[in-house]
Amino acid sequence: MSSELVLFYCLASIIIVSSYIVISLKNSVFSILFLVLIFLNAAALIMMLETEFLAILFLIVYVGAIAVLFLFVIIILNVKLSEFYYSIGQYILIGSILGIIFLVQTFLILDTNIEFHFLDNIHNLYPEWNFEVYSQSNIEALGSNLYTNYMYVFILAAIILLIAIIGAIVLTIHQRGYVKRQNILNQVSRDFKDSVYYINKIVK
Amino acid sequence: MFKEYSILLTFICLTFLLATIVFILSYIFSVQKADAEKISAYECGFNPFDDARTTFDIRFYLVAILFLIFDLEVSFLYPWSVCIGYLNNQGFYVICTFLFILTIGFLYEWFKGALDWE
Repeated sequence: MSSELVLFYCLASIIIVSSYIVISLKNSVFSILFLVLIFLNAAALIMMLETEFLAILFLIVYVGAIAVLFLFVIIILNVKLSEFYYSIGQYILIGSILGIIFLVQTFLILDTNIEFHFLDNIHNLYPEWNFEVYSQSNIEALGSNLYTNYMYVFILAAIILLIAIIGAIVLTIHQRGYVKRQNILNQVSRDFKDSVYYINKIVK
Repeated sequence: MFKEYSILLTFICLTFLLATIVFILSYIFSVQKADAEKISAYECGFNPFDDARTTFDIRFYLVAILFLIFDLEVSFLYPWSVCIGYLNNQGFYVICTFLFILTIGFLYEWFKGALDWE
């Protein structure tokens, strides 16, 4: 076996084992940490497909943002550890049905053997210099397609982000009635004669 | 696969190996005489007063979500800044539209006072 195939099997087996650990742990914070391990290994798999920008983006979005949001949700929900005891028997039927559907869909879409792609590159150890010089990096390939051919999808992504901003603000903000804020205009325009006076003046 | 990332893989394996060695050695060589007082949780010397998971303000969550959105915006801008040289006018106007739509969201967030800490 080639070294890339060994690396692929190592990363994929780490992903499978730690995804089992994610759903079997009682403490949900540890589950999030194993989820981060899954994301790191999946980013390494994407790196093996020679798309390094997507791998870094995967790390930024999933580990830097999604995992942090999951941690927030877990802490906000305030779940006690003892509530997690359940029997696995009541989920095994629906879980296996969903898993079989997912596997069938995956094999229908990806109708190729995945090790075939890795075995192509074994004998290609020497760099092809014209390919190295004249080819685009994958960031350039992504950018030259994203902003021209997939223009409408890009604008759609902006609209989805806008909806996310508005939805998050509407859901979580609550205005309190009386809030002391620092108003610089009031502070600067405050006059000495109006602010210092005898109490007698009011009594009269 | 990128051949220049193989040294990164070597370093990852080395760090994993080193962390495992340090962990196992500290487990082996330390004296372990655990009793109930030594391994129970404490809080500044006292017994813990209440649960460690206290509720906190939802505003932290809002800040995290807004960070995520503008993080994604920068991630969308990065390939554009790399290949701005051979994109035509259309690419420029597309990015202007993108920034305009997100600026609407940013103004909404600003005037709604979502980033003000009361």
